[in-house]
Amino acid sequence: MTVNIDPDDLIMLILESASTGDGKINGRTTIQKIAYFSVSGLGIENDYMPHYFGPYSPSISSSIEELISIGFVEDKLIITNKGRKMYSYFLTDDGKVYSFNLAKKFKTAFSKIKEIVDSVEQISGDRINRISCAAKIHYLSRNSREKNLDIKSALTKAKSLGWDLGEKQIIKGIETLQNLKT
Amino acid sequence: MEYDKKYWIHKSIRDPRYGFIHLSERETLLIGTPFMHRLTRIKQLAHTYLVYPSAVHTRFEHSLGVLYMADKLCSCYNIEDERREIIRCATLLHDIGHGPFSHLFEKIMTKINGKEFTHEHVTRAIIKYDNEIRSILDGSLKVDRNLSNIYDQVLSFFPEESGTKKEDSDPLGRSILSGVIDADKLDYLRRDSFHTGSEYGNFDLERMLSTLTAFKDNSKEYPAIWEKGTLVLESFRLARYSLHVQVYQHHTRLIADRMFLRALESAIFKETKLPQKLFKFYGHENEFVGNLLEIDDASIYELILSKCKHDNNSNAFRLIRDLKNRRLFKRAYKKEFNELPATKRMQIYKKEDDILEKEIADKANVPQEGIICYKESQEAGFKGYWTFGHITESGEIPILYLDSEGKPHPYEDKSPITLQKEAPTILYIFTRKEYREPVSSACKALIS
Repeated sequence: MTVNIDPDDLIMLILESASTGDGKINGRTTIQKIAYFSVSGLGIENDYMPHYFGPYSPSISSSIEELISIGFVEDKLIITNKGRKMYSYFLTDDGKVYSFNLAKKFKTAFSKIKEIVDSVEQISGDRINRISCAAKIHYLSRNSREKNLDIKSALTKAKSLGWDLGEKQIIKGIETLQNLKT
Repeated sequence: MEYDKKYWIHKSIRDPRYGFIHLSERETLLIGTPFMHRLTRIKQLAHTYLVYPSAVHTRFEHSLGVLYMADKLCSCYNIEDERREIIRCATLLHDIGHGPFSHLFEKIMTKINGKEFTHEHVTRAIIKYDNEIRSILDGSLKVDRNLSNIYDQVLSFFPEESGTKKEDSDPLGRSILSGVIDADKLDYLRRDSFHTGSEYGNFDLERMLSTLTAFKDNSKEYPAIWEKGTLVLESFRLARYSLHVQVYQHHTRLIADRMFLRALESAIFKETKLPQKLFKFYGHENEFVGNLLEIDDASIYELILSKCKHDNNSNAFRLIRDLKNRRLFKRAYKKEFNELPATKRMQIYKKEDDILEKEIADKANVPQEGIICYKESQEAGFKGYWTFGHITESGEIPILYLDSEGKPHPYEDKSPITLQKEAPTILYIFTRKEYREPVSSACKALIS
């Protein structure tokens, strides 16, 4: 499946998908990783690169900022149960007008994105480390020359990208990945 | 190598902000190179002098100021002499890759080279390919005192190309050149305030320096600020924000900057009077470095004027001549995107500037050359204090907050001021004075 959706529209579709739940995506890492799984699943051209918290796209990051700056998305600072601050993203009323039409235009892609958003919400919730780790494993296996990446090679490859993953984390990441509808 | 007092005070240069700036012999040699001296011909604030007439200070004095601030930061972090020398030299050289009108030149370079371009890539290339600078850094230049070889270490401060962002092996050292609080910002905020005659960029520097420290976590050190420095850090953030809004993003400066960029683009792409190969960097680094020495603020004006003067219809020629005489475009329309109708907003946001300009020109019945469309996302200057102990997404090293027991926290968790709103993107339409009314009406009809 290959579809041509630009980063602005992708973010709008992700937030439109969330709007049937509580309408919010919590955390910059979460939205980055949902977008990562979406571009991978839909075959969208992207600029994801390894970053400390897993695959990171500068275009997605600047799109989020742009959408806020044109009044389609709003970010709100929230405090988690563990006392950490994070940003929660949701559509403004004007944003909903635009994304509603967008979802109709990209009907098939939208249902795939919705599946990803729902499964991330179900599996990981606010546990950002879990989704971040799953995205790292996905990135490692996507960018590996080996057909079946074993744990030892994954550890070495992760280290070369600056990711300090342990064996347990890799196993947990694979588990999460298997349950995600990517 | 003996780093005695004499080593650091080979020459002293007066500075209006700091009194004397002392330089070592190596640093004295570096400021005497043609590439460093070229910075005396590049204004620090591009066309800001058209709003604030005394803002004609250059990248050269700023570079000296950054070295001075880097030294102060090294003292805060107890950085030893050998590493201090590397950091001082890297900060002194940090702007040598700037083209005419600094960041404006990066935009045209990105367009011609087809990928993100920053002056730091050129800085790296100059250090590599300019024999004089290289020999001063690698110690092969023979002077009274033997110079050590710091070439590789200085070069490592400048990235080859934008690419993989990994954890930094020396976050503390790199934070002095590129951090939330770095020598660059500590100098330019106060220096730009001084030269514009405004007070916006001032903050309590002494208090800031007395509350900064290095925090050790495993084998690495990170920049940190003690709890008692919170207020000065907030005033630093506010200074940055105010200076951006009042000086760097003043609409008259924006107009002049856009006129220059439009003239350069027109001379290269539409009128094809300037060869694109002059601006090809990737794959032609050595040749580019050779050409760059002759390109500065004044010479690029003259280059455009001389190449386009025989064409009576040259838009590039007219724009540069008008800039020189301060015959600036006027603001015909200004609107925040979040005020535009939801149904039209994204369409206008994504529309190419020249298409929008043509639509407005047709509606207003004026020549398209008389219109410049500019979408600006205002720099809030308040965000960017994320991620404990690791590089921020923008590549800057963040600052940690140390509580009274010396325990580190992400600064954003402790900051008493939090700006939640992203600054709005603004749509500007600039035009010649005589077209202002019809263009303004056309914009209202087409956009609002």
